[in-house]
Amino acid sequence: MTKKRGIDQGRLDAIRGKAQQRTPTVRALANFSGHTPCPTATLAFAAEVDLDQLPNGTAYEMPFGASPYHFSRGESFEALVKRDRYGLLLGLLRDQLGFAVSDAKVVDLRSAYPKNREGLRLRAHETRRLLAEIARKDPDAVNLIDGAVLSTEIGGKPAYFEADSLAARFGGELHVGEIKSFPVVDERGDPEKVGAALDQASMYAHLTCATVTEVGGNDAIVARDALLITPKNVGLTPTMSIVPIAKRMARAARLLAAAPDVQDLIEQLPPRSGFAYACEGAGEEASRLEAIHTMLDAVGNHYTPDCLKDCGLARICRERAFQAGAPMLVGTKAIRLLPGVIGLERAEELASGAPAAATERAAADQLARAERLYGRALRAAGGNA
Amino acid sequence: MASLNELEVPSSPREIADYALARFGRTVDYRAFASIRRDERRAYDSKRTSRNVYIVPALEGRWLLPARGRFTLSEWPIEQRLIGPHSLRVDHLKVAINIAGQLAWMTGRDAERADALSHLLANYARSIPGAMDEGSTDPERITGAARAELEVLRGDDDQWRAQTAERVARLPAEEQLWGAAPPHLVEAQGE
Repeated sequence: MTKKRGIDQGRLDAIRGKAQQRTPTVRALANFSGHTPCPTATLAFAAEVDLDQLPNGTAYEMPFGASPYHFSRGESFEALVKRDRYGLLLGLLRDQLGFAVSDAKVVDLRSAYPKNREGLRLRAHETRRLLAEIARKDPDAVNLIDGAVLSTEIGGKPAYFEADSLAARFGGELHVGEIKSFPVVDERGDPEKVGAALDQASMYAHLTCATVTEVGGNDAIVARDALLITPKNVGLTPTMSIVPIAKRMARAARLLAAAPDVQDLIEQLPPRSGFAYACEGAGEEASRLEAIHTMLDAVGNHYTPDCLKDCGLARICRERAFQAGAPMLVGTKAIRLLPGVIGLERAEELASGAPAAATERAAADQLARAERLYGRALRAAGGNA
Repeated sequence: MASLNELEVPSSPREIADYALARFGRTVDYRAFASIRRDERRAYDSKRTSRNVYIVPALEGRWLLPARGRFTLSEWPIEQRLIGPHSLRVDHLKVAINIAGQLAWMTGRDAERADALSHLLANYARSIPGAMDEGSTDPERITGAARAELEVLRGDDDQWRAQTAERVARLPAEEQLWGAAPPHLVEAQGE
């Protein structure tokens, strides 16, 4: 068995410096899981850096952020579902899932613990204890946990994550529940928003399975269905949907396992480099961007067009990919059609009939054919090939 | 303080404000509660003030930590100031019963207050099985339904409160009112 390496936390803190910190939430973890093959994203996550904010004040600043109205509606809806001491939520669980009247033991782990790192650790400790009681079917086990904190390792570094989801136990199973304010009309919601909510729920469920296993329980008690609580139609009356998440949970596990080793990444960075030199306040724009490129050169990245949706460095990485003619610029689907082709410039040559190496032959035939079809279509439309 | 006194359970600023408006017609800015805990603590610590009753936090969970958003009165028995696994639901039912009682008394005395209390009661009763009949707010029906649910939960909740009150009684006097300090977790090897 390989001896587990420790993480140089002091160096990691220095790498972060005064860069804005990300929130330690399961939501952030779910967002990150789409980027685990990226060494820079992994290093940022391990160092608790908010990459979305890093290029602020430079030409590469990303236009992220939901509208204040979105947050307000989201907070209002969540508060509504939890008001009256979780009365509305318990009512939903009874009406739609058959919670018994006696299934009313609720723990809110947010209300009393300090809002700092120590508070997170205490909440994680208490979450483990509550899950252990559930796992051994203790008659005093709670029915609803709000504000759980779970832990996992990212690239060898342990970290805590606060869940803004709920966990509801009844009938021997523990269900993860997400409260979201987007409407469900005629039992259908916005596919992208539903997908994001289910990814979050799946990450929470995956972490819960891991914790249950750690405390000696059988992770089969964690249901492979999530509860999605949303407004019904365009009002604010809550309704609950039960959605399978087994495949998403498996995907979450695979993605987290794919994160590179954080200590390796730390050791690849040259001295006096890191997010500390790239953040707002670290210096002039030119030197900040230079610091970002130094990191990307040292530890590497994994750009795909999907990064533009939710990574603060996406514009910088896209420009680097463009300058390098990286095939990834055209997306992962197109990549699969270009096996063995090292860059877009080479793809252009092959499309024009350049002699192909053995490893390029399959792609070269496709490219040349595509070029002929494109030329024919262009001539038919009156353009020049 | 008068509202909290009548609610008789650990209550959030919003719950206190909603009750004050319905019961007394008084508008309380619940955001002002953000400073109440600090102000009450200062008054308690000050040698110049001496009051019989302070607004103090509820004590929550196994560590008896002060609950940030739930207030109680220092003169209440310790059991009444605690929040355990069943307590949130039990307290909700108790408040419903209290409001139903206030409404029954107010009806015929003050139509405006009675109407406001009726709306407030309907909000509490929504989640109680059998409490509402086609949307009508019948205090007697609601009280019956709340008591029926309370019967199921009360035993376990009372037992937890009694056991926990014994633990609280062993704390220093100051912590009995203001809550215990969070424990310090010792890191396990490899954490």
